[in-house]
Amino acid sequence: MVKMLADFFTLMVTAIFVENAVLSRGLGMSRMIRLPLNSKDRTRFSVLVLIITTISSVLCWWIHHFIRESEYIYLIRPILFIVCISVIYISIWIICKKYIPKIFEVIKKDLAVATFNCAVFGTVLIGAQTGISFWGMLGFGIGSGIGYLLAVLLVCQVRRRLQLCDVPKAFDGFPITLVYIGLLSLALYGLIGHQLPM
Amino acid sequence: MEKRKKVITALGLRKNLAVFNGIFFKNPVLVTGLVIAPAAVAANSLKAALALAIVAIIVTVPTVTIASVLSRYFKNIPEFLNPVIYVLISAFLLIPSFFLIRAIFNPSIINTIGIYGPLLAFNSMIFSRAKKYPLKKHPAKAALDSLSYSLGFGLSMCIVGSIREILGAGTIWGVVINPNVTFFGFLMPFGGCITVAFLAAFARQAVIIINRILRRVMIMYRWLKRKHNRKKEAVWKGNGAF
Repeated sequence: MVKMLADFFTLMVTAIFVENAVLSRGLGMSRMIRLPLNSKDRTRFSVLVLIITTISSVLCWWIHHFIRESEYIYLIRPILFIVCISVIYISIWIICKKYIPKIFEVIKKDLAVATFNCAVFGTVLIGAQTGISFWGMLGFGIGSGIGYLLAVLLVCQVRRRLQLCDVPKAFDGFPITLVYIGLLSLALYGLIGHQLPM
Repeated sequence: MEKRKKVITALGLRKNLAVFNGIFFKNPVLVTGLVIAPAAVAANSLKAALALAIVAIIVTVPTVTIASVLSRYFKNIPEFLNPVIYVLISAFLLIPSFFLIRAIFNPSIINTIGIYGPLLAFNSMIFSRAKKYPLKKHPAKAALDSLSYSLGFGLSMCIVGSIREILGAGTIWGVVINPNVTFFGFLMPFGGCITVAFLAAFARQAVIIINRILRRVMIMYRWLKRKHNRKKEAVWKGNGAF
């Protein structure tokens, strides 16, 4: 019981701050430059990513548990995880359309972009590579989603402020945001001290 | 404003050559930030960058052509299943690409790229390019277009990878050039982000300058054409001023 809780909370805190999906590993950066800037849309998107990360991490851990010992695992693993994520996407779409039409109208536009995202797939692959227990994987998934939410909040706030500044024409828009993300990841690098295993 | 628009599309050259836009004018890494994660984090060395570029070409081009062919023949598929089909096709194309990399480079390249190899199956290039050409129904154009985007990706990855390797480790393709002056920060994710950002600004300024030069060339061409036509007309009408 104690080990369960220890795994869960340790990996959750690790995933939020130390191994942030966006700032330490660079997953999901191409979406963040294009997100809308008002708070309703961005919280909706990042909460969707959080839900899908938790569900997919649980399911993919179960699948990976059965095929752990096999020779060409690095070839079979991506395909099985992609099938798993597509099944989740289709089931969420159909269930929401039939039974909860109010929520379906809200998430209809963002569901495709939020599911087929580097952040979701990256956390699942990283959790499978380092063999961790079930509760650890659940904590890692939740923490990864929360880390993505925090990173989205930071970057969108900075984009708003940069729109008011006098940026040179060549740096306007995408490059200056990338410089800012690099500075944030430099700050997080101070917590880790070494290159994370890829 | 209207005069400028007429001048730019006067020759129609820009429209015909729009298929090759992906190499420079709409580079997926540097100009329109479609795929940044592998370039900023994983392109530590020229070898890894080339391996990722090869995987991207093998994964993207067949997927987009198959998507444009499928949209012509199967119109009954509901629209929310489109991303699922693209992603499944690209996942199956990962297998031959990994065998190819293992044959060209040594088998330990798979550990060097890490998770960023399989992550190329979730390319943004696939999702944004597969939507465009099914409307016009040209599979050959879709293939050329996705090939140019993948080549642009490979070119920018090689540039970023070589800069990061020379400044970060003093080697290039494993051959030691400059062992004394190394900044290890370029090998880390934050160094990669800042390198890509500055190269993106450089590329954007280059695009602005090239657009200005092209606009002036087209103005000159159109002025010369008009002058030649006027001369022809005058001679034919018998206006013997010349």
